[in-house]
Amino acid sequence: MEWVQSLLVFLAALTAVAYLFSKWKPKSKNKKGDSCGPDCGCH
Amino acid sequence: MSLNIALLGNPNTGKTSIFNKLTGLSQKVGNYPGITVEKKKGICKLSNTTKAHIIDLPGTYSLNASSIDESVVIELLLNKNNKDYPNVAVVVADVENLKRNLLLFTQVKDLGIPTMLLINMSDQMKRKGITIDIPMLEAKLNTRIALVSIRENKGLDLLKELLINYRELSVKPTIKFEDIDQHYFDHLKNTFPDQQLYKLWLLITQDINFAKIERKKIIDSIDFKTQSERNLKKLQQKETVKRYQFINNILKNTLVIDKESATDFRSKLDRILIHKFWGYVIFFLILMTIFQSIFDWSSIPQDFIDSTFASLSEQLKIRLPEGVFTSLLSEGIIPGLGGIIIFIPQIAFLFLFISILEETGYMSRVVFLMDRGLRRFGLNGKSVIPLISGTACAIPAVMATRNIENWKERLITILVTPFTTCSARLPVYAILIALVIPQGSFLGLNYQGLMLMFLYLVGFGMALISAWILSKTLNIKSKSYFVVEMPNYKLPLLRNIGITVWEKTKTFITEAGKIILAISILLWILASNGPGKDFSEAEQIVKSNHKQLNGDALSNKINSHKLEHSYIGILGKSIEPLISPLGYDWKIGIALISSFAAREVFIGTLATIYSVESNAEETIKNRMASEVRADGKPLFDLASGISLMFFYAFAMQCMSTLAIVKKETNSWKWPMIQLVGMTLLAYFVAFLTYQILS
Repeated sequence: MEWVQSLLVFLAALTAVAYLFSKWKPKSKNKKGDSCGPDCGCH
Repeated sequence: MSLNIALLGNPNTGKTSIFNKLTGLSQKVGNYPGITVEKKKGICKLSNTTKAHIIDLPGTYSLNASSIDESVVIELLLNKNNKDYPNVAVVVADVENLKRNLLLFTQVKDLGIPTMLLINMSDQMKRKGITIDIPMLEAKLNTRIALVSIRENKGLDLLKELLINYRELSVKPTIKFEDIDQHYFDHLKNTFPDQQLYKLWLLITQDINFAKIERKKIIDSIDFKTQSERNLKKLQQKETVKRYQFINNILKNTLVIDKESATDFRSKLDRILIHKFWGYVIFFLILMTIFQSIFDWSSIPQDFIDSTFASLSEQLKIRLPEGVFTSLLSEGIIPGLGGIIIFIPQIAFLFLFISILEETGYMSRVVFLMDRGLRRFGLNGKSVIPLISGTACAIPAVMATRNIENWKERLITILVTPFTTCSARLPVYAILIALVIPQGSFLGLNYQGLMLMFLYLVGFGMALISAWILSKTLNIKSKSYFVVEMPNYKLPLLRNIGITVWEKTKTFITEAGKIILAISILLWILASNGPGKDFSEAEQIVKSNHKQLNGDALSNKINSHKLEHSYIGILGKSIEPLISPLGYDWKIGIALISSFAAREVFIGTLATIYSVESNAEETIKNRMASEVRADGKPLFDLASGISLMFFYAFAMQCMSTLAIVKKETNSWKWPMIQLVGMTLLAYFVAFLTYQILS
């Protein structure tokens, strides 16, 4: 049964890493005007 | 004689009451062709010889349509071929919002339709301290005015008389279009000499289909060159500014609002709640009540949740087969989740109070009240909304800065908003306050509640100070206007409050819960494994060094040794020299690193670390309270506790906020400045606090 528990821990760790990665992975570049107006100073 | 009358007006001006009064039971409800907006038509006998067909048009703020409701109004007013096209338009205005209502009046009048003004709710004038010079207003607007009170059945006879004599109404435009853009409007007039100028202009600027208004002719014209959408919008804005200049000039001499003589409930309450001195005192007292209640009312459910999770861990350990996954569940996942679920009562109470303040209409008064003070710190009046909504979460608050027109003011608001105490800081504050602030009270106010309120004020104060510094260094020259509509006071709807509390608490728990669960799993793995013999042979090393120990004491010593030499222990130890001047040990250091993802992870991390270290199933608070330094003194004492609270008050411990700041500013420069600046400030203040208090 020890290997089942180790497998579950491995899967849990894999899921945790995947979740955190998906949460903070760099998002694709915004389209112009998507989040800020023409006078926002960023165009 | 028969005539068509169009009733127009802003929403909630009592237009439908006027319509009902004039038409009685002679009404017909239908729909506008092709759309589901309700159309009401009725017949009114104005005199023995005059019958009027009255059409009640949907409420609209202006003739610049942005909704279907508004577009049906324009469709009728621009289409002379429509059988309902009015002989006379009656613009209904609410006595309290005359300025805003007059915008629509000037637009309708400029269409060349005989237009009169109906000022409704005249019975409110005395109570609200309003005086209107009707003859002067009539002269300035070049129209006739009926002052009406449906409640007191006054003014209707005059209204009917004015309607019968509608031919006497002037159709002269209120503003000169040449003043907006001489070249453009001259060109328009010369190209279409037979068309009414304002109708043409509305046609050009509205994106709706008016097939019978000769739109085709405009498109086909060789001479006529229209402008880009951007330029047309600019002209439209100029038109609105001109109209408001015209209205302001008129009302300056004809309308007097004496707030001091107002006697209605709303005015009386407003006089106190937005008073220059008492307004702030009342707001301060309300805040104090909220924070006192958060601590007092939450303690019983919190103790229950804490002990439930402690026994759940114990039960899992007993009932599940021994192994690494069982350890992960009982020492990693359950304590980590317990560290966030325990704060459900406090979060729920916080949002309960916030939603009550919003529902009753008080929050708008707070926004107005704060606007006065904020301007001194170089912030825009509209910055109040992000700063207040930042008490829930900085992410929507940063997004809420989008309605600040001035870029520099918007940037300052974005940079200082994360200082306001968000709900993620609440769990950190709550547990530290419970640990280091005594439970006594002063004048019936408990110290713990006062400390929590102090931390909220410190966050808000730091936001203001930073804004002031930034406004000086960023050299802001221009300022934007601030408009807030004060809603009437009303009793809060329990259903609305219930939905808000449920949604906010659910979002906090599910969003934070998923991150904490993931981090708890990784932390447990890093804390349960380590390199070298110090970790793998921990039992032999401890036994040979502490031969006098046995039972639980020996077991706890082995666990401590293992944790210290685990991967997470090595990481924590490596940053210990940096954080020990702040009064923190390496375990707190690990919590500081992991809580960079999100502040609330701090408690979950400590719960997981202490759970791995100790065999005893205790509550999180007890585990933290029993932590001692090398000299035997408690780790969480007043100095280190307050130092930690200040660190969390000022540090930018939130990756999601950094991501949204990057998105809103379209650059990594500002979130990086924010991260470095806030972290250095947090470190400096925490260092000073610990050094002074210890």
